[in-house]
Amino acid sequence: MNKACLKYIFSTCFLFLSFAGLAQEQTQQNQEEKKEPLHFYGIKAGINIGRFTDFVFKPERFSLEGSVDFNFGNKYFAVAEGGYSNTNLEKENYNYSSEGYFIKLGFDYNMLKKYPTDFLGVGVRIGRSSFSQDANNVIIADSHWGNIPINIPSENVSAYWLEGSFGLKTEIFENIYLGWSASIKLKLSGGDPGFEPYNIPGYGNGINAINLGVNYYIYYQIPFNRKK
Amino acid sequence: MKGKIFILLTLLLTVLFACTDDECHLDTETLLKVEMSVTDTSLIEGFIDSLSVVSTEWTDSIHYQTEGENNNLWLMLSPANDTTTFIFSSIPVPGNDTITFFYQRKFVLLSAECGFVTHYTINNITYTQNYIDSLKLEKNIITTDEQGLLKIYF
Repeated sequence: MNKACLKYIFSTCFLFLSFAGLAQEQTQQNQEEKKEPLHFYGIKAGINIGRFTDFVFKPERFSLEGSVDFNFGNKYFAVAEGGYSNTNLEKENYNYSSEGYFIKLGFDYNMLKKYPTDFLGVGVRIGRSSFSQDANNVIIADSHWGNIPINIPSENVSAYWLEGSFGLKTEIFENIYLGWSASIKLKLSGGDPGFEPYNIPGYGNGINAINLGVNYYIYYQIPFNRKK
Repeated sequence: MKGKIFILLTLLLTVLFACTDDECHLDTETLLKVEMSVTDTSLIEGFIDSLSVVSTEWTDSIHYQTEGENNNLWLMLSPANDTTTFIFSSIPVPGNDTITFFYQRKFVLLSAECGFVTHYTINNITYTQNYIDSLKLEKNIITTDEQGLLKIYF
């Protein structure tokens, strides 16, 4: 069984865990929604635990990603996400490395009406990444031109993208949330016209105008002004 | 009802992952398709069938009879330079024509398994007109997903 298959199984198990938590909440919450003013209900801080699977599935990459959201009425959330990524590939025909940071700012909208703590909704982000990359000992094999050696010295690059997401967060223990989101990312600008980045931190492969992604988060709700 | 929706959403999300292996299954060739048309009646007899395309850096040439079909050839631009010159000659006629491509290269790490490839954007073409009447660059971008297209009228 290869690594991608293991990742598939991991994703499926994780999703069922989060759905189970939300279903339990559904049986407990059976109240009609009440119209009320938009209050600030606290802050959630989270870490993307899906990144830790890179140790198994993408050993050439090390990355960290965190998130902070500010809850307004459990309906609107201002969200800031950021992270770090380092990729090192050493192959027979090339060496490639990139390292950098990213930040994403945006908001989420909760579509649930009966769950004062859980989340099922959509979001939008604008992302920016600053990183360096280089490639050396590259051999481009060409059937007519032979093996062409190239070296690309280290360069600093930045990129911008727009991101839409859909996902859920459910409270599994007091103040502890589990959540996932599926995202679609649209590259707006950036990169190098002569050397397409293989890994834009936070975005993915720079050759793609659109990238898809899935994130698995665990959050801690800071127990402050929390609605129950 | 909500339970069913959640199951559907689960399926939708999990299909984002596919089982793949560690081999390179992507197309790594970057090709410029050349469509040739012979309208000069004095050239029609055997001109295309005896056509050879060479570049000064090659040790061999492309021969239409073995590498062409339906008046089409596929060329590869040099990944080592920003210009490539091809010489077109045919046994039934003396002399030859040259076509020089001026382009920008982009180095792309296609995948960890496939390694680096070169993508091209052709900016300009110059050519002699001993036998070539005209040419038209229909597609100037050459990638592993998309062939370039040049039409040559002899």
